[in-house]
Amino acid sequence: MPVVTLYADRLRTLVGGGITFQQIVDKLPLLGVHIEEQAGDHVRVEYDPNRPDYSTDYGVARSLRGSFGIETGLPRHDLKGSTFRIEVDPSVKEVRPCISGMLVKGLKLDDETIRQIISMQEDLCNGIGRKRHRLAIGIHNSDVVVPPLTYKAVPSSFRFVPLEHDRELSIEEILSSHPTGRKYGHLVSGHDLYPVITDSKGTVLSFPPIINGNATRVTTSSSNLFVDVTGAKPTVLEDALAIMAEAFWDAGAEVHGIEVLDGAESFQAPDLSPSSMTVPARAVSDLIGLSFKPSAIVSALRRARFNASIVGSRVKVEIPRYRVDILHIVDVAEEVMYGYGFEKLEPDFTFVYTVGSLSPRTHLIEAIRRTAVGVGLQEVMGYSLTSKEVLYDRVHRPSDGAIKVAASKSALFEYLKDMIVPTHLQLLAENVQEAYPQNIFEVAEVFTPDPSAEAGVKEDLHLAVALSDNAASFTDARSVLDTILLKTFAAKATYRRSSLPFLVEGRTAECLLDDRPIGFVGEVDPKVIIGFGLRAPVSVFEISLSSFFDKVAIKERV
Amino acid sequence: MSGLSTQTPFHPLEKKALSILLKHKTMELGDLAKESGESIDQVRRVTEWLRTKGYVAVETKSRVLLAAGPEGAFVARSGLPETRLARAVHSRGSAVPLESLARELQMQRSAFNAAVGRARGLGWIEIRKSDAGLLAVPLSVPAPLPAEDLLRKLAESPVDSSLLSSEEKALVGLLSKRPGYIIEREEKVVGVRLVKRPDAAQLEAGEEVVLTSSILQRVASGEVKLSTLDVSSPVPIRMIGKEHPMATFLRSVRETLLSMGFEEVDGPLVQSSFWTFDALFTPQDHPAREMQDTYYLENVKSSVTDQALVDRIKQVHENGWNLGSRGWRYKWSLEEAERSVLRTHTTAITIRYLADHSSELAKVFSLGKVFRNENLDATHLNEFNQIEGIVVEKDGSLRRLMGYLSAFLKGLGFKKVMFQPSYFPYTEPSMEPQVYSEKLGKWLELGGSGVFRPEVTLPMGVKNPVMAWGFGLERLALLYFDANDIRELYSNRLSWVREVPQCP
Repeated sequence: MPVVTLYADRLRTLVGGGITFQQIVDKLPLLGVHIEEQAGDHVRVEYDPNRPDYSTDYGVARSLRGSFGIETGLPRHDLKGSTFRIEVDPSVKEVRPCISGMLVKGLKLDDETIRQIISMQEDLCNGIGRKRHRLAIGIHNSDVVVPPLTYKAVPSSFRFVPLEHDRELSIEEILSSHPTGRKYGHLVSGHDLYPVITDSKGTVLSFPPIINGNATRVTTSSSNLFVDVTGAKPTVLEDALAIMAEAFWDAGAEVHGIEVLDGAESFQAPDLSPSSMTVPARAVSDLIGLSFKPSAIVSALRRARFNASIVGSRVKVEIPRYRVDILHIVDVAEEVMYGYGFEKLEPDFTFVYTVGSLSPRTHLIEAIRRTAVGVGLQEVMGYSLTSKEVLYDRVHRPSDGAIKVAASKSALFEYLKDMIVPTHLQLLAENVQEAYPQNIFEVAEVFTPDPSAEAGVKEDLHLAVALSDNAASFTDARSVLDTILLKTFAAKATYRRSSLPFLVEGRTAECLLDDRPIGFVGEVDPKVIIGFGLRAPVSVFEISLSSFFDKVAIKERV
Repeated sequence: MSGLSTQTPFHPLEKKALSILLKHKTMELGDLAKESGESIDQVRRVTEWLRTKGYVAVETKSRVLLAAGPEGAFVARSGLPETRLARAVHSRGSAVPLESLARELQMQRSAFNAAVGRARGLGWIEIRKSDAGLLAVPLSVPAPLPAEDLLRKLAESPVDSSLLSSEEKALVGLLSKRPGYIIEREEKVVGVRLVKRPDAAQLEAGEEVVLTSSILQRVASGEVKLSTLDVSSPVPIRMIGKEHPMATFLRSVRETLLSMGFEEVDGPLVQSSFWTFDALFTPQDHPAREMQDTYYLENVKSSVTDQALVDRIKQVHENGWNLGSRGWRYKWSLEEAERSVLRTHTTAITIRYLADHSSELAKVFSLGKVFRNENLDATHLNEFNQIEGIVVEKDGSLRRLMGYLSAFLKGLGFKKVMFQPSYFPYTEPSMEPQVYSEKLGKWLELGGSGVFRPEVTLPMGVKNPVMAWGFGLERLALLYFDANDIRELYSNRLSWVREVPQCP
């Protein structure tokens, strides 16, 4: 989740109205902002990704001004025009087709303001920009820029002085040796040409989305900026410009749009005019669970920094361009909630009457649990994911048909278990210092590939038992199995000699119910026992419980 | 009846042990157990009681046991190589070529040569040169050697090295040089020594400890008395069958929802991305869908067969369909939606339930495993249990959700519940519940909740508002069990699972 640092004196100045820092801090959670760390002079907060306008203290203060009633309705949005032009060359069309931008004039930059702007730029590129894939932002000192600009694609031999360097590097060098080039190079790979923004004197502003040119870098003495945005879709670019423009307006600057010449077409960009939505008062009241008259909705929305007017039983809402999270009426209803004051909402304890029930799976597991505990077994609960070593190698099982997860953060959790017993041997190995006998049971799902299953995997509920003691035998394991089947389900299994690579030949059986195999029983091979670092015999069984689901439905018994 | 004693009465087992010790003065614990007919554990307990009462001293000593190794055992049966060689020569009665002798005895060259040398040294044979090579000629008859006697003794049973004579010890020194002859093992021995004589009167028998069916009549008739027992002396704790502590905890969570009229639903742990993310209006480039956070399955694919539903979801994502929404405005891919994942929340199950039942009224919950591609540490697991509750009703609203959720959290034991507004891609409005823990003296955030967006419910055919909440349960379990490290919950350390009481 993105974070922003809010300094007390800046916030108090931006909010105004004599509001204290503590009042602000108390209000923040009610706006959906989560406090991470609080000190006397600042607070570090986490904000939700649907409010990229909270990436600066300007954005947070703007909401706070509305919430405290100091400034309500649409925030300033007086975008002026200009003749500053960008010419889009057809060569970028295949590479990174869209560009837009704006001019910021009369900005007073100090260190903290620069930090806030850089933080906003990064958050926007990572968030709505999806790590610069959809959006990259360049901010330049416009005093050294001579329009018209050209946005074109050039070969990798193209050279310029990148930001914070003192000599020219080629695009190829930047992509191979500069950290930013290596990190984001994949966004421009696959083409022979690379996008650059240059001005009429050939000064390179930027090689988006990688890095800016050093010539146009911004310092605390810059007061006029040119902001460029590039990407694949115009709406995302405009979202970013709208958010940034509001911040610059709040910082006291003038913002001018630019002219984009794309082929034969020339248009003014960006379009930051508000959009509108009409919302029935009824929809708001129903969703929140409180009756709102249209006039109450209007005043609440104004506090949330919207404009609103009554049209009969409905409210027409004007939505500022920077609010990229308003997709539907329900989003407007939530804004009414914020504007009204979330803290004023009380729970509605009206409950609808229904009869509860547990799932068949829970009933089945509880039934097994009762008899297994009654037989004297200790329940264990393992993980579904395990390692290849435990599941296959150490028990000499072939691993074809193994289901592996991609890019697991740990090799201990890479394969979905298709059998529980190997994981029990590992569990016993981790418990050699504990008292014996160690008689354990587990009910869990196992997984096998099955192209006919909806998600491509068949899941089967299994019961597995391991008995480890001075003399744990096949008879002990079969006795436990027969007892559990009889006492839980009045079921009797039959047995047929079989073999498994980790069980003693001649002491292994297939377990059958109504002539269908449901599992296996056997004594673990001493070589495998020793391989796991165990010192006592182990006998095991594992059966599928899927045929017993219809046994647990109580309703069919009466 | 013995006179009243002002001393502590002896337990019948103590009486038995003391009687034996009076005969031997010092005994090994094992021998005391054998002679008394009691188990070693029982005898250990009894000697400890006697020790605290001041009647015995318990000393642990180490001793070295010597036994015959595999070679030594062979020699004990068949004689040393030199003896076997000499006997073979004497049995022929005349000169024997060394070559054929070596073959007959099947000894290795170096061992054979050594045996020849020793047999000569003992005067049992003589070596003569001949045209056919070296010959062995019998001289005096081989006699048993002390080393063979010793090895026979050691082969019979292990001997305490301190009990050997100095000659025997010297022989051990020589024989140990030959591989496989002698095995040495250090053993700890517990010895019990009588240090205070008990009064004869105290040792009077006449009372039985254990009432058995065979003496039932005799006790009833007064012929046999039952001894008084030391009722506070420790007795063994039994090994029992027991459920896993998490089973107890999760059952109590289920019970709370059951008491509120909720129906449990479950479903597969492996889901398509479609049901885990797309049906929940989570855009395909959302960070939560990245491999760093979600487990995707290799070589496994899902198939979503409801073509009409797929089309609706595609439109919802691309342009909001006919819902009055803007959607996410990007190009939606079926291939991406058909990737299989280990579910990251149980919402995939509950939303499927609503879709299959087109419910107008439902109160449903799911409690099951969810997966996140995480590294494990004291506060994070990659597999954990999530509880999810959903209510669908005509009058569903945010405030009503607050009502249901407060009631549920209070049912779990929290007296104070608070809500903070938040954001999730599939609910609007959204809230994060907070509960006050008396135990920790602080507020805890507990997952998320909200009213499902119409982009989620309407394509499923659900027209009434859907209120939902969900959170992971292991953090609460840590509170329930007074545990600190979340990994302990599933480490299956037997001492933990065995020792957590049924009522923690």
